[in-house]
Amino acid sequence: MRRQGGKLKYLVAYPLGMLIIFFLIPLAMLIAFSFYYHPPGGFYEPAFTLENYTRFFTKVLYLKRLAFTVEISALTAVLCLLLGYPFTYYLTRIASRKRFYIILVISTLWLSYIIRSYAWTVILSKHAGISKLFAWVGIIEQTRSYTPGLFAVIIGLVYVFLPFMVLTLYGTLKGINREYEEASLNLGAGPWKTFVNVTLPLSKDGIISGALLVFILTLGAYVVPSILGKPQQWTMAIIIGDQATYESNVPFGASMALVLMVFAILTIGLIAKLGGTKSLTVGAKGR
Amino acid sequence: MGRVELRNLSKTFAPDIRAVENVDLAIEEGEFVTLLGPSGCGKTTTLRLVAGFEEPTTGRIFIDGQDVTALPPYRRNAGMVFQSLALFPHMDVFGNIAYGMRIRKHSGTEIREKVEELLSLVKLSGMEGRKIQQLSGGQQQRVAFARALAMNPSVFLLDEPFAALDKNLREEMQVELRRLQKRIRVTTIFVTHNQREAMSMSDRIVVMNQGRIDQVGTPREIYVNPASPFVANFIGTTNLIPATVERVSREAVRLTTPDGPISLTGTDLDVAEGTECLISIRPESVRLNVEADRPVENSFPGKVDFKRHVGELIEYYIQTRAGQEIIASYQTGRPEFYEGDPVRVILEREAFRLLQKDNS
Repeated sequence: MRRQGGKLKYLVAYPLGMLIIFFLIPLAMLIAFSFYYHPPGGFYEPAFTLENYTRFFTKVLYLKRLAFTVEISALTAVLCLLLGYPFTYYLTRIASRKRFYIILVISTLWLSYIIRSYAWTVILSKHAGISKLFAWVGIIEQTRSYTPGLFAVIIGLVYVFLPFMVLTLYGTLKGINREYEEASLNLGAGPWKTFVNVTLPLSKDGIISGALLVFILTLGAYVVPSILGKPQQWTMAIIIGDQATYESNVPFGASMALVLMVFAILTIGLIAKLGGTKSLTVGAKGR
Repeated sequence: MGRVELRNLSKTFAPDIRAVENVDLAIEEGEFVTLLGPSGCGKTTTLRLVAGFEEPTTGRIFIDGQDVTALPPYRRNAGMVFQSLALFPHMDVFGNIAYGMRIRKHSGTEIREKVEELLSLVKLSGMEGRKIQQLSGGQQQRVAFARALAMNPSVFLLDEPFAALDKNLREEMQVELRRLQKRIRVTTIFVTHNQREAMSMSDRIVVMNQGRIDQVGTPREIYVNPASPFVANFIGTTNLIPATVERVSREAVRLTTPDGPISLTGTDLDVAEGTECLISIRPESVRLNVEADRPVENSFPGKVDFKRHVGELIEYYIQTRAGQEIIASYQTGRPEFYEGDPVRVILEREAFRLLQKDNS
């Protein structure tokens, strides 16, 4: 028994050690830095000041960036869901050679975000991109550039994070026994009613995790908005990076990073709570 | 309400798996018909064709005289109980049973009354608020029955609903289902691979093999008078003895078997002399005698090779002189034999059937 207890200690020590080294220590450092003092022209001095936080919460400029980041993250999550759900549903229900399509989806992740973002700058440019096609077809009168700009940022973000949505939904949708849908058809519900009353509620978990995942990934997005966006489309991550690298103001960057993190945690908590109790269907209403 | 007719129904899955071939079947109102066969015999596909989940390659399906072949499942009014039951996990008992009526926008009071009536019918009164996960296996079965019957279906379809239950519960549910079915007199098609289940529940059994119907008949007919060696073997145990028709006269057919001559009277089988066929005889129709007795007709010598007790019965596995194995089952209490005993095997004349050899 004692020997087993000893072995168990080592087993627990491994994940615990990993957690402490890679998560708890950096987080503690971040928290500590966020209260440090930033002397003008210098780097940082250990101190305990709330100045970094008051600066963030009193300047409209920074609050606007936070609001924009949250908005674009929510928009990206919704768009990824709208695009990803039908595709993934098709993949699990109809398509043969599922594995091939899934590898195809994952393969876009093999290229770095930077390369894919620059690829979009070309595609959305005035002279080489889809603008020419649009003009030729007659949708627009003159070729124009869509990048940098909001439209380009949204396209880039959706493109980059869509695979995460697909992969998350895939597990859930594949796990729904087809007999549930058949039972619904058998009871007189057509395909659409079956989808709304059976398939959709049964895929609720996947929808929530997929949307949350994309939302949080977008909250931290740096590369896509910096390559495809104007300063008006810069996200919190870019502002934080700027403070830490160009302004040498690590304490202010740290405090903004923490604000963003707390915001993400609150969102997860809120959605998990809502998702756990709320239901979308006819049948679950009870009597 | 509830006559079902299948006309020359076939279903071929790509590339050329013939799941169902030329099935013709008429099921009368209120009848309980079982599709019986081994896995892959096409019984489930046939059921799914009736429900509308598969489209037949050829043939037509009629429910109450109406051709439903082209109708989607949600326009057929065939209540189905699935093998997995497929009770909606995100709804309670009430939500599951009321589902079809809510979809068709029945009024609240109407739905409540119907659900209450169905719950009392399946002995689950007061359980409407339970979650599916809180129910026992047997209770889930009953909810599945109630849900499928809520729309007063023209035909009640069941796809091996008891396959996952343990033996006691399965038998309990068999009785329950048949009682329920008799009370509401709904036309029922039941699919199973369990011949005991089929024998004990059905008005008629349809034995299927390799996508085709081998025989249709009452359980008794199929047991006593199997149409093929496959049916004889699949329904209960049987002894199959190869034989050649030697002489056919008006009152008897004489056959030769590896263990000697056998004669069969009163056969209505149309056989030609020289035909090779199989004699099927059930173990309970095989008698054993002490070898020293004088030879009787339709008997041959053998030796007890193995013996086992099966409930009230003793099964003797007899090795004949020609090397065949014959199984005889006896009530306990009769004179008992022991392994190694020489015995005389007597085939009761009225009990055996001549079968054509399977082509397959």
